[in-house]
Amino acid sequence: MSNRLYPRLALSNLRKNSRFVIPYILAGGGAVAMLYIVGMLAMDNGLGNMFAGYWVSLLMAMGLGVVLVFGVIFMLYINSFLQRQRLREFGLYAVLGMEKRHIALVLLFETLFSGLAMLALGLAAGLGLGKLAFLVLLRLIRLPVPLGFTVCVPALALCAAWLGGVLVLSLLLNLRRVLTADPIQLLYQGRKGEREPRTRWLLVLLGLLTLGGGYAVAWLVTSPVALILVFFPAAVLVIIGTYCLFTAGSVAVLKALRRDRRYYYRPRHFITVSGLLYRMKQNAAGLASICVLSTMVLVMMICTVSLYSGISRSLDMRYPLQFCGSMSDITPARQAVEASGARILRQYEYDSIAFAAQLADDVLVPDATADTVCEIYALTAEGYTTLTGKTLTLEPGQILFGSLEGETFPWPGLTIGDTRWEIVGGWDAPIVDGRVYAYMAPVYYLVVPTRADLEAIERFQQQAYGEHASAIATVWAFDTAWTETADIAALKADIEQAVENSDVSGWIDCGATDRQEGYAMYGGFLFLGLTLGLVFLLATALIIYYKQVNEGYDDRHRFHILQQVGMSHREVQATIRSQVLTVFFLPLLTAGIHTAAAFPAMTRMLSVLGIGTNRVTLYAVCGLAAFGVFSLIYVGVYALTARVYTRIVG
Amino acid sequence: MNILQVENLKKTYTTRFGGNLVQALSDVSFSVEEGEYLAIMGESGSGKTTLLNILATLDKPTSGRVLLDGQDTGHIHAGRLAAFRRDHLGFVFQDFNLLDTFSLRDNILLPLVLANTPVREMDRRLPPLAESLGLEKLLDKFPYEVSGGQKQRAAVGRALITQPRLLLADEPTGALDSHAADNLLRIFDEVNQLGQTVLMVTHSTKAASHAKRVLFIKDGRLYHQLYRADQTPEQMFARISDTLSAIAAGGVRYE
Repeated sequence: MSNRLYPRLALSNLRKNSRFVIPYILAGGGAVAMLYIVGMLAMDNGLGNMFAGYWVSLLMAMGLGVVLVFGVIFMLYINSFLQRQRLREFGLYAVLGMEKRHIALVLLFETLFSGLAMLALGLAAGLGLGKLAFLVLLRLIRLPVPLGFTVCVPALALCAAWLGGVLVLSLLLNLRRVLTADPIQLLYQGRKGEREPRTRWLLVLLGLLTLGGGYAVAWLVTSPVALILVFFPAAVLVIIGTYCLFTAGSVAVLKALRRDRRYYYRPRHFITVSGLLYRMKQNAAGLASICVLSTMVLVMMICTVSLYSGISRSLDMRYPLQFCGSMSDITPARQAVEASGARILRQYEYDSIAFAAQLADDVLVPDATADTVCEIYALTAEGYTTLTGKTLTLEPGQILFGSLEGETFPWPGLTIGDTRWEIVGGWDAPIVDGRVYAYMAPVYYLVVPTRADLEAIERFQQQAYGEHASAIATVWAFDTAWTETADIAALKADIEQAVENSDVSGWIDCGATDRQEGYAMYGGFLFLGLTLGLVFLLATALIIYYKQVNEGYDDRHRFHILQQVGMSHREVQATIRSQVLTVFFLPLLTAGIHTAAAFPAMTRMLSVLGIGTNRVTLYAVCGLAAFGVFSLIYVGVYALTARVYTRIVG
Repeated sequence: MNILQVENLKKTYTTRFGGNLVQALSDVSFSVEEGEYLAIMGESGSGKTTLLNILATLDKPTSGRVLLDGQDTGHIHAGRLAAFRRDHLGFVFQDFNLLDTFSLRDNILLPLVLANTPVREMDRRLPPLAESLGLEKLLDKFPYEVSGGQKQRAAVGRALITQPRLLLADEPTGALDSHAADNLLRIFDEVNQLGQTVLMVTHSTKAASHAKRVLFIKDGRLYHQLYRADQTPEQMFARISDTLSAIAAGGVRYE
């Protein structure tokens, strides 16, 4: 055989199977493009050098890992679909006298050609869209847009290496399948009778338990700290439950339907129930994957959009003043500010101590371990007076005690160590130390009469925590007359330098600079959410497409028989539609239910991550919008796929 | 009385490229009486499958007409055709065409379910039919679990459960071993004795020798016909063989 034959045969094969190959090439190209964009953002030094850009680089590096790993799994999955459809073709070649090494050559050329197409397509899209993605990202994180167009060479190399690796892996898998099988077996693949699936009650039970457990966590765990620890395990439980119930639960339900003869022996139910029974056997895992992916997209969208949309308000609350520090002695900091020449517009200065503890009814217990932990922020009446501007006098034995959220404490007094305090009021002063919003645990304010009382409390928690105990520090919050970020950042650096050079311990927050970090972080989150959401969505769409096309070929024969036996074309169409609809929208529906179940947990966690955005309606709107957009795209994919399917079957 | 009346049937196909006309059937006429057992014989490409497809209302003739119980099948509305097939005709195919997703019971009940028959009626009809086909113990098995002969018997069950006016069989023994083929032909004999009209298309002399009358078709025309009368299948077998030889040599001509 001439050497030119193999490339030509490979090309004509690709053309003949275009219904499968084109989406495969698009998927590969899409993966390469995504990889390039995310890789560029993760590896481009320009971004890393930008102020607060390291946040974005870090997030993108995480995203890059996800895309890399997920992409491999996904490409192999599609490849297996593609090859399953072609086994007969290879069987035919073998029967026609092609040796296995010839088939291997054809496969090699096919892989080479589709790989080149993917690379060209992917890099063109990646380079073209890369700049756009960069602009979108910079806009989200509110950084100025640099000029020029750069090509990120490391990202290019990464893409090529990744694609090469994936294709070599798929080629090896395909070769193994073709080379180890004998031709007759290949020819009759796919015509074997499928065994009816059994009901696996154990799996059903396991599915119910894991799913129920996951849901229960989302509903019952109210402490955000605990939630952040258990959310991921709960998600894993739900994923396991989804797989179990899709595989075993669906079979159990369908078999129960089949046992009800009056229901089962109706034209529509008859075909659909028995058809679905087999379809679920082949597709349950795929459908469960679609469901899990969809849920991930939805949760990601809700979280990132909610966080980002509340970011301004969050930052305003977190940084009420330009600067806020807490130090054992503020003299060095003060000297640094005076030396810089910055004029102070307004300032607050008071002593305070913050420590973790627990409230057992009206007793303060120094125990920072359990998940009902809260944060006590204590100061003196004098400090409180500084904040409100109105003199507060507390008699010995009296305190103010109230939560940050403004909830009233239901007890008349509070016991701290050996002392029983009488509560004479709650917290009603402006908050200048935004750190209180950064604690994950609920925060309680405690105002004691004198400095001596504050020191008593310091000793109380020192006895319990030893070297991990907190110490009384001076909080100094102030606004300067300066407005330029660069000036303010320089001042912050000066203060930090001064603190470092003295023997003072403490820290200083700067709203103006941290704000930029906040935008970088949440904007980066949003961008990552959008990117990964897009990746998962495209993956879902392609999986659905391949499923339907594959099933179309399986179903063609069945519907042909049904028409011969006396089912009208219209009835066939209606049955197809109801079957395809079920298969299509079951995962979407389940994803919706999962997201709704996770909703209470998400709102609780978001209220911690997004300060002051504890607005359930905002999350609900974000959630519904995400679900709506997602459904819309999903329906579009459905319509497209259903058309291809009907054309195959009809 | 004639159950089936075929009048001047013609069917021409246009080849895919260019306007070459292929004449699959040219002027075929015959009739089938109630309770008859008719075999139509011909080689591959003789037009017998086209004829069967037209009788089965799966295809339309270019000209001529088919009357089933006096009703012109060409005049049935397209949307009603499936129901017409379901209610009046029963089919047995060469490759069984059972659905893998159904047990044999459900495969047999399929046409009744499509016709919205009450479950009680299904329960009444199935047991005697299953018994006569020797399938009582196999009803809960799936097609991939039983032999070819058993599959074909289930297919016969599916064809007969609607109590059709006409049972159409397309090469029913084609995919069976000789033992299973004999078994199936015996079943056809039995149902025919009970009054079922059977029309079978085949190129198996053995199968045709069980029929009461054999029509020979060649190049889209009826060529000859043989009546069995009171001859045994063996005698019939010899006569059919002779006729086939003669046709192959270009001899005998139908009337």
